[in-house]
Amino acid sequence: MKIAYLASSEAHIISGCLNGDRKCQEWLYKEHYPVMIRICQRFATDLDEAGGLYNEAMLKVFNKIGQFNHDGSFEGWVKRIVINTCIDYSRRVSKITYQPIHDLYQEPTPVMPEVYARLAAADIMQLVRELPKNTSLVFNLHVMEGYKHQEIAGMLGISEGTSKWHLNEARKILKQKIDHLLNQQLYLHAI
Amino acid sequence: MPFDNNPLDDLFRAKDKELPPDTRRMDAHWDQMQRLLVPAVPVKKPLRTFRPWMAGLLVAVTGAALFFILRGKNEPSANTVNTALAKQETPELPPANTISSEKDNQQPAQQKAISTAAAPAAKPVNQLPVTATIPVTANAKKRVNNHEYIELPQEPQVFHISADQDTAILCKHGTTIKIPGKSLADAGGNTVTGEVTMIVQEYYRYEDIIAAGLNRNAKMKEKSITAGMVKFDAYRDEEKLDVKPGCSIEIRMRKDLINVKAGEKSRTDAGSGDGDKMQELNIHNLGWISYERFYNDTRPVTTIRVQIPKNVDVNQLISQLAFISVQGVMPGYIENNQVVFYNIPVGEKAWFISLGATGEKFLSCVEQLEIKGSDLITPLFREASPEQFKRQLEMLTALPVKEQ
Repeated sequence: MKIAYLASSEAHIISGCLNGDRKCQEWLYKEHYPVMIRICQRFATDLDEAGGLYNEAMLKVFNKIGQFNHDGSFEGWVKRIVINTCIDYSRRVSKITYQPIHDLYQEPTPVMPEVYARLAAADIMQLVRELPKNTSLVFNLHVMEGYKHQEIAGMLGISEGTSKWHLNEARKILKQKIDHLLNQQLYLHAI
Repeated sequence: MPFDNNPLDDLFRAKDKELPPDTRRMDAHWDQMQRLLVPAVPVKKPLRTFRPWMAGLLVAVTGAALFFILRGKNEPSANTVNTALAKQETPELPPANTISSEKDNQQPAQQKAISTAAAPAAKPVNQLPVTATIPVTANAKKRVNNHEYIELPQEPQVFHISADQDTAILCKHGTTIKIPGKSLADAGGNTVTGEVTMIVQEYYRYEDIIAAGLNRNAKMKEKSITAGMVKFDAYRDEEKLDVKPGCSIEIRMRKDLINVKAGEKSRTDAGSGDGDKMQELNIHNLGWISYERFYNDTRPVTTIRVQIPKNVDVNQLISQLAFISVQGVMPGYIENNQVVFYNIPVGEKAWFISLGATGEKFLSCVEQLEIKGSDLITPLFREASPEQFKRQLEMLTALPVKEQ
């Protein structure tokens, strides 16, 4: 005789959300909030903008929850919706048409991580938000979310070369900004 | 690939991990989210072809529904009958004999009928800003310095009564308490007179019972499940009172909430039931009063063993089995690195609920099981904040029972 696991609590929550149960929706919303708000913050300028993005994504989740086919993890499904929502938002905000850029790829800029590691995490992550929108978008998708250039190209409707160019551009700008930040801090400590 | 192992990328990934998730605005964002959501509309299954036998079924169901509706009007049910109606139905009752809490005008008529001799006018007061806390075991406390307690909102019901005269208290969720005059005593055993304050907390909701039961330690391998708990305390000014030696206080609970006998902490004598309506107990000490189920269950029983992961100290956990059918909980016993539940009726559906700490992390597990026989199970423990665990408990009431 065995004890059968009827279902995980998440499956019950999904079932509750399917029936429009507000408590289940709240549970799901708050369960995924800590992870997803981090992603949204990378694409937004502040926490409230990130919250708006998360809400837009969760509205899609609740409306389409019946389409979740249990093929992969539910969190992965939610994450994909959140990222797509962030991409759509970034494209709306930037209002810049993607131009094909080829042959502009350069070698990545070398850095000294042991020196940069001293910088505060919040300061470093703020630098990504200050990047040009499209460059920031590619950087976030490739470096933070782990998408390949081919996938990014498909998601954004650009060529792989363009994606690589944006990434390289992001690295160049970020290195300059980090150096500037480091110099500022050294100067402040010296005072 | 030139993009792999880029030190700048590694730096950003490492810094991103350093940043804790910012959840300060989570509740505010949820409020905004709710405005975007349409009101809940349950999914309706389409009707199939109408068959003649359905007409008969419809008549039978309608009849049964009418029967229960009409019967429900005559049964005690808290917060359903207003004062005007109650007074009309029981004009012979002296109105000052019975005390109810902040919602005095919502108590049913038949509960008021249990009042006895004349008593002074009741003075229901507003709710005190009290929250029920779940004490984590001593071992866990040492490890979880910042999370000693999980707070669940609990509504204490506060009554001021005269200790000199017989008084009946009608509680919000259906518990009735009869306190004979001069039946309370102070710490020295002296009879208390004058005004005393009674504080009652009723734990009938699923998550409340679980929460209240987290500080209970199992000592007997009994075939019992806690199906309801009441905390009942009396104070004169700051002094805590108890039942006077030789006296007793009568507590009645709703029939649908209890089914059997008093628990280990209540130190009570099981009294006679009042037909099918109320279960009666006589208590000799104030404090926790719990009620157990499954004593008369005739189904075969089995033993459930839960294997705790090696990296988790079983002594740092508080584990219970929550039963779906009776809305009751049973504490687990610790044996080696296992939590063991004895005498579980086969065929029951239950939730394994566990809470504890390892190192600086707070762990929880909420897993649904169907009891089919003796077996060893290995549930998945997750790192969870007290708030997340609290939400998991709250969700138990909302979760539907999934049938196989």
